[in-house]
Amino acid sequence: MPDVRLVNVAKRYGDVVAVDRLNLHIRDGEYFVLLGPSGCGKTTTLRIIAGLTEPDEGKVYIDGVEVSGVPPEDRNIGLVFQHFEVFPFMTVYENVAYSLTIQGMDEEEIERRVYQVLEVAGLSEAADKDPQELSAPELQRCSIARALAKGSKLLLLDEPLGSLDPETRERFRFTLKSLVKGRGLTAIHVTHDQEEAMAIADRIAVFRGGRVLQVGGPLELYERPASIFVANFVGETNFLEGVVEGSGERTLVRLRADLPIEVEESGLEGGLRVVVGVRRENMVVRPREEEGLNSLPGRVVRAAFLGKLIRYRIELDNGDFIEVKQPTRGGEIFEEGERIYVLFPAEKVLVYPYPRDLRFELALK
Amino acid sequence: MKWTRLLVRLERNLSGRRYRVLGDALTLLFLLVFVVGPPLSIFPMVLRSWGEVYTTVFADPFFSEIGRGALRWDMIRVGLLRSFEIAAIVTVIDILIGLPMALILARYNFRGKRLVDTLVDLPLAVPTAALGFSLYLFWGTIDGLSGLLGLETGLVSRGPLLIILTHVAFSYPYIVRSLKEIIGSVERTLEHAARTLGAPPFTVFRTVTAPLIKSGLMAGSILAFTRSLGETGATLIVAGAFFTAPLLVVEYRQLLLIPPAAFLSMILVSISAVLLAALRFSAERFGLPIRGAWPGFERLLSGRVQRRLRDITTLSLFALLVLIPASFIFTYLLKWWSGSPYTGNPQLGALYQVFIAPDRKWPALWSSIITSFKVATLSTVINVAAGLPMAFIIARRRLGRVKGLLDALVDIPLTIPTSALGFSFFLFWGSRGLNLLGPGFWMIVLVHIGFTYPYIVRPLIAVVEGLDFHLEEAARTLGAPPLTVFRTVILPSMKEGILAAAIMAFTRSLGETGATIVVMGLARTVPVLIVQWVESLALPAAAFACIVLIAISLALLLVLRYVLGWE
Repeated sequence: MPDVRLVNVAKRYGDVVAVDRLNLHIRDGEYFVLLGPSGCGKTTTLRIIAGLTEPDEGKVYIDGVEVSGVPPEDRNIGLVFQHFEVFPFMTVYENVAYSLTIQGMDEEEIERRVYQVLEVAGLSEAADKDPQELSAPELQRCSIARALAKGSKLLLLDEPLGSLDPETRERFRFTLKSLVKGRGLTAIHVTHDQEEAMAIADRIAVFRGGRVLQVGGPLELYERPASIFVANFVGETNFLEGVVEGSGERTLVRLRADLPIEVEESGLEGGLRVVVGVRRENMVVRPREEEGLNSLPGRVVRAAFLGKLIRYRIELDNGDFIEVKQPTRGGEIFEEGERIYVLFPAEKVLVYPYPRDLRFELALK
Repeated sequence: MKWTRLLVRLERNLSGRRYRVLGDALTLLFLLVFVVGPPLSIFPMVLRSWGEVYTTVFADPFFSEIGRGALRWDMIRVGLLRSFEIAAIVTVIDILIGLPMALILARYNFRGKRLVDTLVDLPLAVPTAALGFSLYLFWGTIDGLSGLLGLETGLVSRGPLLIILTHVAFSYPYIVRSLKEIIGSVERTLEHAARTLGAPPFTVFRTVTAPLIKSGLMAGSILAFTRSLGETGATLIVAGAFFTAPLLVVEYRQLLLIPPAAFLSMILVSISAVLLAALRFSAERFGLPIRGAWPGFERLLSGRVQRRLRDITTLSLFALLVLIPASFIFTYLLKWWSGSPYTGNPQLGALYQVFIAPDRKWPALWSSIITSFKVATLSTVINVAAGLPMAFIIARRRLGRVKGLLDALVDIPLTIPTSALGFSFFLFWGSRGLNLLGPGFWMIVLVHIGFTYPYIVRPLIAVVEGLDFHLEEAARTLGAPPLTVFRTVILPSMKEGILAAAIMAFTRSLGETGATIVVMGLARTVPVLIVQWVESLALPAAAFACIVLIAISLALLLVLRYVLGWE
C-alpha cells in the first residue's frame, strides 16, 4: 500500500506561481483531501503526483520511490476526472478493460477483472452500453471503475463529484469513501467544496496561492483553524477587529467603540491588535443579555427566512456588521429594525493577530 | 494477446523524444519540399534566367519587327486584369444571390428544405470541367435554353459572360455554406432583443445579424474569389477565344514558352501571397453599415409580401443560374445518347462515339478514370499521412510566432491558381530545376499532393483543436504510452474528421484540370480528357465522360454527408 510524499515541489507558469515549494505527506491507506478555492494549486499538485505535469523543482515519492521524469503511464496510479473522460467510442466494458488490454493481459482474465470491478461500481448491467446512453452518475461510476480496474493502490480524484447534481453528490461521497476503505486504497481527492471535504476526508490540506495553509482532520480544521483564511473558508465565520486588553484569568478584547468581549485564548500580549472570529452557528440572537456569555448589543438590519433557518444581518452598536443563522423553531423571531443582543461563549471565540492585509485574508478567490 | 504487448512495447519505444524530433523534422521537410517549395522557388528561377524572361516578355525580337516587343507583357496584364475583374464580379453576384439563400436555409423550416440544402451543394460534386461544359451546353447551344425559346443559335456565346456564369455556378456553394453555418450559430435572442427595442426585421439583420456573421461572409467571399481567380478547367471550355491569366499559363506551357509562363506564374504566386496576407490581417477590420437607421424604408423592406418576393427570387435565381445549368448535361446526354436528335445520325450519338467509333474512346476514358483514381488516392493517402502530424504541430505545440508562419505556409497553395501552381512544380522537379522527374503520372501526383494539402491539413487542425485533451490524459494514467494513446484514443476520436477531409481532398483532386494539364505529359485524367473531347467537338462523348465523373464525385459526397451526419 502506497504513501505519497512531496518535497519542496514548485511549479510556475510564467509569473504565476501555481505551486510554491510544497511539502506534504499522504499516509498509506489515508483518504486525503486537497481543499481550496479555484486557482489555489490543488489540481496542479494532483497532476504533478499523476505525472501529467512536470514540477519545476522538488521531488515526488510514491511508495518511497522517487518518480521524477516517470511518465504517467508508468506510475502506479488511477486517476478519476471531473468530467469523467469516458472514451466515447468504446462501450462501458471496453473503457474499463482499457488498461488491462494495453498490458496485453489474457482475455479471460480481463473479463473476470472487469466484471468484478463493474459489480463493485454497480454497473454490471451496463457493460455493453455506449457512454452516450449513460447518465452523469453512471458515467462517473464508469470512470471510477476504469481507474480501479488498473489495480493501482493509489487513487487520484480531481473534483470527482463536481459534475454531479447536489443530491447525487452527497450520496456519492459515502460510495467513494467506502470503496476506498473497502479496497484498502490510498486516495487523494481534490475539491473546492469544504462540506464535501469535511464529510469524506481522514485529513485535509487547505490550499491557497500554491501553498498549504493547514493540514489536519476535519474536526481539527473546524475547531482550530490556523488562520483567518482557513476559518473563513471552512465554515461561515463573523470577523471583528479589536485590541487585547491585559491578560488576567480571562483575556479581554476590546472591539471598536470599546465593546468588550472575553476570549479563552491565553498568552496574548496587552495592546496587540487582533481579529476575532466567531462561527455563525455559535452565535444566538436574543432580546436581552445573558449571564456568563459575551453579549453584543445591536439592531436587526435584515431578516431572511430560509425555511429551517433564519439569517439575520445585524448592525452592532459599534457600527460593525455580522450575520447569524439560527433555527426558525425554538427561538423568538425578530423583525427588521428590532433591538437585540448577540450572545456567544468565550471558548468559541477564535483570535488571530491582525494580518498585514485583512481584505486579502478574507478573499475567497 | 501477446502481439498487443509487443505492439505497446514498440509504441513505447517510438514515443521517445528522439523519434518525435525525427517525426517533426520529416513533417516540416514534407511541407517545404512537396508543398511550398515549388511555388516559392519560382522567384529565384525567374531571377536567374531574367535575361530570357525579359526578352520573351518585354522585348521579343519577333514582335519587335511589328513594333510590339512587349506584346506578351500586354497580354499578361490584360489577362490578370480580366481574371481579377471576373473574380470580383463573381463574388459580388455570389453574395447577392447566396446570402438570402443562406438565410432561408438557416432560418426557415419548410417542406423540401433538406432537398434544397442538398441541391445547393450539387455544384461541389460536379468537377469544374464538367460544370463548364454543362453550362456551355445550356447557355451556348441550341440544345439548351435557346432551343427551348425557339431560337436558331445559342443564347450566350463563349466568352466573358459565360465565364462569369460558370464561375458563379461553381463558387455559389462556398458562399452559401459558410454563411449558412454562421447564421445558424447566431443567438436568436439577440435578434429578439433588437425587435423588442423597436427595429423592424430588415434593420435587425443589418445592425445585429450582419456584424455577427461578418467572419463567415469574409471567409466565404475569400473562397469564392480565389476559386474564381484560379479556375482553369471550366474556363478552358467556356472561354472561346477569350483568355484569362490561368489560361495564359496553360497556353504558354503548351507552346513551350517556358520563360513567360514562369514569369506569369511568379506574378500569380506573389499576388496570391499578398492577397492571403491582406485577408489574414484585414478580415477583422472591414466595416459594415451598421449605424444609422431608415425606419420607414427598412420597415417597408421587412413587409410580409416583400419577404415572400425575396424568397421566390432567391429560389428562382438559384434554379436558373446554378441548378438547371449545372445539371443540364444529364438531359443533353439522354437526348444525344443513341444519335443526333435532329438528323437521327447514330454516329453523332454518345453510344457510337464512345464505344463503337474507330478512335477507341472508351479505352482512353477507362484508362483516364484509372489514372484519376490512382492520382486522387495516392495524393490523399500521402497527404493524410503527412498532414496529420502537421495538424498536431500547429494545433498542439507551443510555438509562438512559428505557429503563425506554419499556419500561413499551409494555406499558400489555396490561393494560387492551380495552373500556376502546377507550372511551378513542373519547373521545380523538371529539367529546369532538380531534374528528377519529367511531365507524366508521378508529376501529376506531386502537383495534386501540393494543391490538396491545405484541404487536408486545414480541417484536421480544427479537429485536433476540438479534441478533448483530458481523454488522452486519462489514457496515459491508465498505462498507455503516447503512441498507444494516439492509436487507441486519438485516431478513433478523429475518424470522421479524417475521412471528411480525405473525401474533400479526393473530390478536389478528381475534378482538377488546370494543375494537371501543365504537368501531364502523356498521362490523362478524366477532366483533361473532357476538355480535349470538347475541343475536338466530340460533345456527346464528352458529356458521357462528364456523367461518369459526376457520378463518382456525387457518390463520394453522399458518403461524406452520411459520415458527417448531415442527413
